[in-house]
Amino acid sequence: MNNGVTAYSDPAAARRGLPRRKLLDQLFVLVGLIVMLVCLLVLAVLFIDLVIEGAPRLGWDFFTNFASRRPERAGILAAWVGTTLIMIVTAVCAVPVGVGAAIYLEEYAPKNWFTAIIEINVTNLAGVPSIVYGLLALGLFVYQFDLGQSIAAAGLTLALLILPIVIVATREAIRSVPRSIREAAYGLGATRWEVTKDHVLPYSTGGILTGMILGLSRAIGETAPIITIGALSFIAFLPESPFQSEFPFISFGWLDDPFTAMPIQMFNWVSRPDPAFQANAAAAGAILLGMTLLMNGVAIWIRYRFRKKINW
Amino acid sequence: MEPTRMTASAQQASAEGATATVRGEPARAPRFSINTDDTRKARALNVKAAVEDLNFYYGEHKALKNLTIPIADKQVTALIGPSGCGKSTFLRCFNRMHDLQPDTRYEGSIMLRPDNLNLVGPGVDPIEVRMRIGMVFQKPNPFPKSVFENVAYGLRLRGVRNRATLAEEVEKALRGAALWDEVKDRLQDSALALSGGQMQRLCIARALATTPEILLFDEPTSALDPIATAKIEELISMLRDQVTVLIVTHNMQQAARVSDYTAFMYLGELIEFDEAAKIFTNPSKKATEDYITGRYG
Amino acid sequence: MSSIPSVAVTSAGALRYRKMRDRVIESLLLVSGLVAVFTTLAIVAVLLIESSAFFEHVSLREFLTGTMWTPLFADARYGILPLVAGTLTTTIVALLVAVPLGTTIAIYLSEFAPHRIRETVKPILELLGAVPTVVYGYFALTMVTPALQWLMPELPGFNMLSAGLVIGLMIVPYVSSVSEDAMRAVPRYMREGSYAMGATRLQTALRVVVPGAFSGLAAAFILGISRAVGETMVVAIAAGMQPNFTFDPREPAATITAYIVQVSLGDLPHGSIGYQSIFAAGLVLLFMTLVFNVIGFSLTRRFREAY
Repeated sequence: MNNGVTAYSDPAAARRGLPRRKLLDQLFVLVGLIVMLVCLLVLAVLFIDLVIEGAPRLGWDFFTNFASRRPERAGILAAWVGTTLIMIVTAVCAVPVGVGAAIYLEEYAPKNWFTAIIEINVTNLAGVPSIVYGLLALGLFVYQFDLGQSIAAAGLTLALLILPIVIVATREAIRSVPRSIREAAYGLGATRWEVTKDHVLPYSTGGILTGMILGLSRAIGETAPIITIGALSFIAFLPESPFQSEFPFISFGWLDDPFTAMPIQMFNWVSRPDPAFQANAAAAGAILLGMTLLMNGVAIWIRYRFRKKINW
Repeated sequence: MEPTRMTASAQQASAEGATATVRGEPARAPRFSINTDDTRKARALNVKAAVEDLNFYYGEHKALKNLTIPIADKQVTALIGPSGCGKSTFLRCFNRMHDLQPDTRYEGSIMLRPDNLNLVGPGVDPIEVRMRIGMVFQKPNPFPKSVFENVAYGLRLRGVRNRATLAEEVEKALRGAALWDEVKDRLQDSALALSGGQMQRLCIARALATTPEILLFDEPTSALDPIATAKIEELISMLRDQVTVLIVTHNMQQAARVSDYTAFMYLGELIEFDEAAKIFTNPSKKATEDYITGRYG
Repeated sequence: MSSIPSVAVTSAGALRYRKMRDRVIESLLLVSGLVAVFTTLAIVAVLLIESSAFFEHVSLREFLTGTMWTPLFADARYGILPLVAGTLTTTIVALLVAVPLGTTIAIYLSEFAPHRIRETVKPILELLGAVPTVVYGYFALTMVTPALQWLMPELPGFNMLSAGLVIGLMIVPYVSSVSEDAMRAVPRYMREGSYAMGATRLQTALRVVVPGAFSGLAAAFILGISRAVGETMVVAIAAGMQPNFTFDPREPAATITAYIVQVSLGDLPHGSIGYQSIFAAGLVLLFMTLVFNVIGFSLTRRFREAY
């Protein structure tokens, strides 16, 4: 008698589909591994090719020469100096504001619509294309605030760009401090700021550092926003030096100066039809790539080290 | 356990309500619903904090209902009751820990003697309250700093900077918590390297360093092993001469061992309050008796 | 004998100072938080103000329906459709690469990979997502295009196919990571129910986990679109900067983003219509990415709350 139940409880029938299903399962593992490896491999090939193409140009001259019409004489001096100065401005602006905003959201903000608006904006800004930041900077910093096409404007633009990164990383770090520590501190009569500065911030330093480095590594490679505000790519001079030989020994004149940056220089060389410039572009790209990987690696290492240091 | 001390402040306590000047609260005659035959003895209690008609709300939910209890000065008062009866909620009113959560509300008063400060008064700053009331939590929560810095933190908050003073006070506090001998050579080591029982005694030292007027214990031994528990119970008994202690425990034997007065709570209300000896041998209310004899937990 | 220390150092003045300091600092922190709001408002304001100047000269109809974009010519035309077509084409090519690869990797990492492989691969993927886009642009122009030309000899040096492929590869880590988060959010008991019936990992993955994580996968897809639409350098370098109204990826074209770059590289006087046109283009770009982001983020929230 063949009722439906008998068919389902027939062991032979259950076994019948099994080898095929297991085969598909194994096949997918293979497919998954292959897809992953193919992606990683393609990227590895591209990176290696970049380094190979660029290696011949990586010499002392490359780092100390200005851009030039002759590819073999062109170097990245103005570019890496510009990048460094811009990064200083970016860090000085983004870190205090980002950490401050994160502290506010995690420790102080009440759960109401006003706080929700701030949080929505932070999330939203993370998804805005970087070139839109460039347009904002053009209209606001370059013209409205009259900063001109300067290092200051570039630094501020990138600071706004990486603000969400710093905020999110800092919030995560702050959140990982257990509530019991805060309760103990409050119980002793500490005010909210005392709890934050004596306990929450010191114990989340690792995460905050990580966020800062990740943000800066993103800023280093950003091209679109600073093209928009007018980075020049054929600069044969350096911005004014921050160091002076007379009091007060530090000058801020360089903030006003026109500038270029590493990714701009690379973009400029890539866009030239002369293949000799491609080698320069590759060299610049290899340096950029190396810096990005280094910074990300350091950030990941810091995150790992700090996580091990305090085991709650 | 002799509860009464007929000192000047005891007489003041009996005469209270008539002329007390209160921070932001009108003078009122106190009412203590104490189930004891000897009301004279009860009224002569030297009271450190008088809880009167305390109600507490989480949002719309009324978690504590009309609590009126005297907390005796330099005595150990225990709060017992089944899970969810509100004893921890009640304890946390004393140092305004609830203020860290949104949407909480107090009604009634907890009058701290001798200056009659209403701990839960709307105009009273929680920070000020916490500067005078200390707390030890259920799970030991030392800061990830050195032993010394843990104890010194409360003092630093209060403006003590002088290194010699700090060292002296830290040693006093550690001795007071019966921990000095074990850590005196390890003061700069991380507090997280201590055992569970030592960590809890460190938390006690940390609270003692700030000379609190009341020391609150929220189930301090429930996360500890029996030996550490015994040490802490012994410590609490010793502390009684110097500090008013209010302890929440779900362990009845502990309450019987350690406390002078015991309050039994159920579903946010006070069912019975009396001398511990009386509660545990001859309770007046049936509900108390049922709980004590283990008929429900 | 034990004793309680008798230090009670709390002057009322000290407490008042501490509380005031607390309040001042809270205001400073609030201002920091408001910077994010200010940035959003500023972006919208700048784009709207400059675009409104643009739309005084150009009709909205021509802008939205015209098929020629030649603002810098003598006979200037201002139809944005070529730029939109360029953006859409590269985006579609990118998604055709990123979604299958990213989802497969996500399924593999979430349901199949042993712990050690996961822990090694995830940081590598994270690193790959951090490489500067100008480097990817270089790849597209100097390596991918020649390779494609070997397959398709008539392929021009600048084309959208090359750019799209590289953009796709570039956003694989992002799509994969959002998808994987969504799949890991599916609770264990659902998987266990399937395994207990004798299903293989693949069947469980496809029949239980993927449907369960559907809103998260949709979020990954949509956020990937947003990323691809906003991408600038790869297209600026590899797809050329000639506006071209076509959906054929084998042709060169300009995207909205590439056009903005092109103008910025030049020297346009502040206030000229060419200058204003980049803000109008930027407005369209912002609108597109905003729509995708809002949908994508709300889907993300949905799968986070569902479990």
